[in-house]
Amino acid sequence: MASLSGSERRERTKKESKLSRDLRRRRPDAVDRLYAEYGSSTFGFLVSMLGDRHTAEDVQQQVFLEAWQKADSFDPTRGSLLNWLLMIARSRAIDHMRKRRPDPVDPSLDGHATVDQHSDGAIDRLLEEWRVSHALARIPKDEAELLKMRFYEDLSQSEIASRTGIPLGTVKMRMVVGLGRLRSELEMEGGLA
Amino acid sequence: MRRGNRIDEYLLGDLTAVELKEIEGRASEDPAVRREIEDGKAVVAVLSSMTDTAWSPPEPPPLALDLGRAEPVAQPDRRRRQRQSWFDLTPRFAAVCAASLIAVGIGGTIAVQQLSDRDPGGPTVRLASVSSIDPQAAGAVKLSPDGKTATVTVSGLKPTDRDRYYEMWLLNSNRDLVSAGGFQVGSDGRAKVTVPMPASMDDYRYFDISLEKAKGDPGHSGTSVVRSSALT
Repeated sequence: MASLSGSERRERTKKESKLSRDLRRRRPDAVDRLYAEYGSSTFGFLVSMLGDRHTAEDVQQQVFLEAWQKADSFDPTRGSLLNWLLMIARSRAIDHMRKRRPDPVDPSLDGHATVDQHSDGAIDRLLEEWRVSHALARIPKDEAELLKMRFYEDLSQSEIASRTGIPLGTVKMRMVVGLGRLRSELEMEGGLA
Repeated sequence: MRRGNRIDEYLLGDLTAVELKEIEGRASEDPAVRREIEDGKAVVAVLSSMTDTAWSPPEPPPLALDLGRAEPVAQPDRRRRQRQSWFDLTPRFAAVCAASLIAVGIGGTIAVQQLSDRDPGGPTVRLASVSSIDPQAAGAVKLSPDGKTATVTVSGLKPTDRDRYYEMWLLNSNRDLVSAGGFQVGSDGRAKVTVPMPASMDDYRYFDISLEKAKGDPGHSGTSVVRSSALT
């Protein structure tokens, strides 16, 4: 069975509860742990939304400062820490886009299309993308890599087997297991949208 | 609650016709199975449309919060620059006027020196169009050997008038940039100017030229017309 076991789920929930509790208690290491766990996903979302790495770096600091300052506002019954942080990131990014003049977009950021600040649908899709990205980072790398070849590079399982030298049956099995894990991770975060 | 591998196989398109019929039969009878399949399809749809960035997320910067002060502190590797004062260049502007070159600006202006016959001989950076405004625009920036001046050659730009001018920038981001001066373009769409460098090119990622309104905000308009590729 690919999905997370009951004990894994409980352990994950316990870890997140402890982190949010430590954050509310203003334990200095809590924000570092929060950053280690979620910093990559919020930053990736901000780079994608703002289209500029340096601006995203600034907003990223604002997001985690706000998380530290408003830790009491996190309600685990309403969603996961990831979703809470992504909502803060979304708000701060929109604030930034509203007050800035039109930007010279960094042309080196291939694939980092700036989201139209007025398009809630586009922002929501971006949030979904980074929820999935976060979940992908939590499954074994070999499984994530196979899913990337399948869905990003659009390779067939036979082509993946040929490229990687992994037997076709193993490719199929790992991909099924990987997708199962990914869906479980997403469920732990409350699913998509 | 997840129902495991068969639905994942279905989502990956791995099922035989018989297996496909079986899972679809279950979905038609069991709303929970149907919902799980729909949720799974949503995941697959996101996976199919994700950018390379989301598959390989960028490394986040170090967290730089001073929690004692509860304010963000400056990133150690960030380079903040204030826009160079227009008036700093006023003496040079006088020389520019004497040389019959064009320099425009409101509330003070910037200096542009006519290119001398001397070839600076330093490194050259190519500029390419980044805007539909001047799609044919191209150019080059040639630094002097000591890096203190830059000669900018551009072509394919739309001619400017009293209300508009082009401005050169050293740029990291929309908040981290410094002006290197402005210039106007005549009917031939060309310009060749030498400007003092306001900072080291090593500190910036791009050389950028924007189209500015003469009476506009003194900051970058956001309308870049040509830009170098990343310098670092």
